Amino acid sequence: LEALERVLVRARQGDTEALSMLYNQFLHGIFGYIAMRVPDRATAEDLTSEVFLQMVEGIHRLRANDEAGFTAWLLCIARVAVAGYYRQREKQPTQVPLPDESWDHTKTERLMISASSPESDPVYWTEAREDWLTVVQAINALTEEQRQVLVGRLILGYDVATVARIIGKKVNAVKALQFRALQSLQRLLGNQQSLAHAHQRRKEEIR
Amino acid sequence: MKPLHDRLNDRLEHIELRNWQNGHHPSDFMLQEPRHEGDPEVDALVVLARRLRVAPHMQVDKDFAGRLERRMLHRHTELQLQRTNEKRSFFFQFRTLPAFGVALCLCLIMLVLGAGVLALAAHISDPNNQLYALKRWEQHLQVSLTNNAGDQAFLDLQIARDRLNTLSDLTDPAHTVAYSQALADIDQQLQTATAAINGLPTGTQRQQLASKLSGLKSDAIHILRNLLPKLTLSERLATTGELTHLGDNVPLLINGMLILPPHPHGRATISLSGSDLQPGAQLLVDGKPAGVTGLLQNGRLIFVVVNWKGEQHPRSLGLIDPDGTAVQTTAITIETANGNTTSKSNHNGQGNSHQPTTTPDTPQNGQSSCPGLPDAQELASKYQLSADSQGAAVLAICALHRGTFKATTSNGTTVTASRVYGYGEIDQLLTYAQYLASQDATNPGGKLSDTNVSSYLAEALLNCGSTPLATCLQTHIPNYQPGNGTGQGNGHQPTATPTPHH
Repeated sequence: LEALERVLVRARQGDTEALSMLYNQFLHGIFGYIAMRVPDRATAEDLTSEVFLQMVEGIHRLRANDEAGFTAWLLCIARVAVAGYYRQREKQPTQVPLPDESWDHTKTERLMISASSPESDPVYWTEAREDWLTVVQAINALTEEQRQVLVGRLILGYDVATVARIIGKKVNAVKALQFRALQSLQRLLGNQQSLAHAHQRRKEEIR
Repeated sequence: MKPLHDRLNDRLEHIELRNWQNGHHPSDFMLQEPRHEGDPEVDALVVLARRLRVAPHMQVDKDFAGRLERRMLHRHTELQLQRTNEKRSFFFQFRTLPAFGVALCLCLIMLVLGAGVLALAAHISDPNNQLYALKRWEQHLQVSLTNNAGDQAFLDLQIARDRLNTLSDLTDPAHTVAYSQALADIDQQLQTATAAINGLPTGTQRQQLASKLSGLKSDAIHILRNLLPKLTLSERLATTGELTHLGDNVPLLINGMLILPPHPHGRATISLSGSDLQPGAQLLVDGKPAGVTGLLQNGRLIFVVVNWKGEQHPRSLGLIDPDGTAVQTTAITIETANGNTTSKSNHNGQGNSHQPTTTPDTPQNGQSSCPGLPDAQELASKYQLSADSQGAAVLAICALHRGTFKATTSNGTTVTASRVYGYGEIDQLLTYAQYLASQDATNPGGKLSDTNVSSYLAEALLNCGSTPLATCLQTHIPNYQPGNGTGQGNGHQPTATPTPHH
């Protein structure tokens, strides 16, 4: 595999293939970071699009030349995008989301799904949405550093040292942040009930 | 025992969270419930981490991923096109290339400073100011950039007036050279302007310029006359010469006669002839006031000098007139008490008279064709040239003295001088010729010799023919000082009387 440093150099010079490589490597992590912070998939996809379009527009100005620096930059863009989303939402009148705004599928798509599928059950979707909203609220209650550690370790799969470079902390501090983040989540989620419910439904889907 | 956060991290790393990067689908290990290792608190957190990792809400939809990639690359193409266009623009280079910006800023600063200095110099009227040289350069550049003869004449007149206005700042003895230079500049500009105006077709412009020239000359005469009392003797001589050029009436000396006393420290009589001589003029002997005032008798000024120093033979005689003008001549006839007469045109004398004071004799009755041959030979010897009466040097000197000089310069220009030069003036010309010879890279040894003397004299005449010799030498020879014994302050007109033939 080509070192990310070289890919970064090529991307800065406007190489399309390098940009695609960066996109494919970081899409999962950035989407995960955003998805764990916003209540619905459509918003997560919109904000993810915003992040990668900003990456394309600003990469030639980027000074970071290693993976940690680039990841930190992308996460920073994502954090600002999410913050912008919540600021915007505060200004708008409160909207009650309809069942068809939930994760994964539109209303039309859902109507086409077999009645035998659990996804056809509105109660299922409502519960799933409410369960994930609980998760999102719990994650939003964490500190930004704790969130970035969770993304770096659990979604992007980086080791502790790399995450330490991304957030500018020492290794032990990252381990402590990781522990406190999961501990807080456990407490906020009420012994993992919401996540377990969501997880259980996922297992049923697979079966 | 390790702290909790270390134990948790060890467990997370143990179950290889990065499996997904190695080709394993996240659900692969998600399906395997973590084994409990007797550490309930850590076990619960590991389960939570794994469930969060594989939560379906966190997985990217493939269609969305494809759409976004296409959209992103499309945007990238648009931006590249936009940047390519921007890169061509001046402002982009200014913004993105610091060196370009710095260079441009420096250029602008230099331009502003340069324009400022030039503008400042244009208003400088003090010739002692260092910017004055820049002003002169600007003026000459202006003239050279003008194609129209009328405009050139107009600029020449402007420059001449500008120089004229600076003269009053140069009257102190410390600026003698600068004063002479300014005077020469005025003379040169007036000559150029006159020539340009004469070359114009008859019409309004010519009339206007001629009127301007006439006005300038009147102003110049007025200013120069006012300056005369403040000037040193050499400056007065030059200024008097310039007044003559301007058409002013100034006294002219033709020759002088000295009647020596019969015995040392007796009474000598000096008689000066010329035109426009004024009663009350003071006598100058060798450029120094003799403290004697002259009486005008039959058109001649007569001076009686008591306590004349023995056999003293002056090199020059001159006048400081009551109006401040000064003239000199080196054409002196000396008469001893016993009636012997010697005519002398002293080549070392001060011959600043700018008008001819005499005319050369022509060969008559088989007499020598070179009047004052001994003086010519003496001059030739002075410059290490052959004193042979038929030698090239003596013949050239004699030709100058007779007004029949004709020679060719090294670049092939033929110079003919019909003007009669006194030996003092010829001495100055030889000084200049010697200087030219020393500066000529093509002249082996850099010396003046019998073979090249005519050529360098021709070149000297070419350069100094239209300017007072003293001023011309000061202009062309570095560190040339009048009175240094190498030929002094002669005007461009002959001053010496050729030896009378008896």
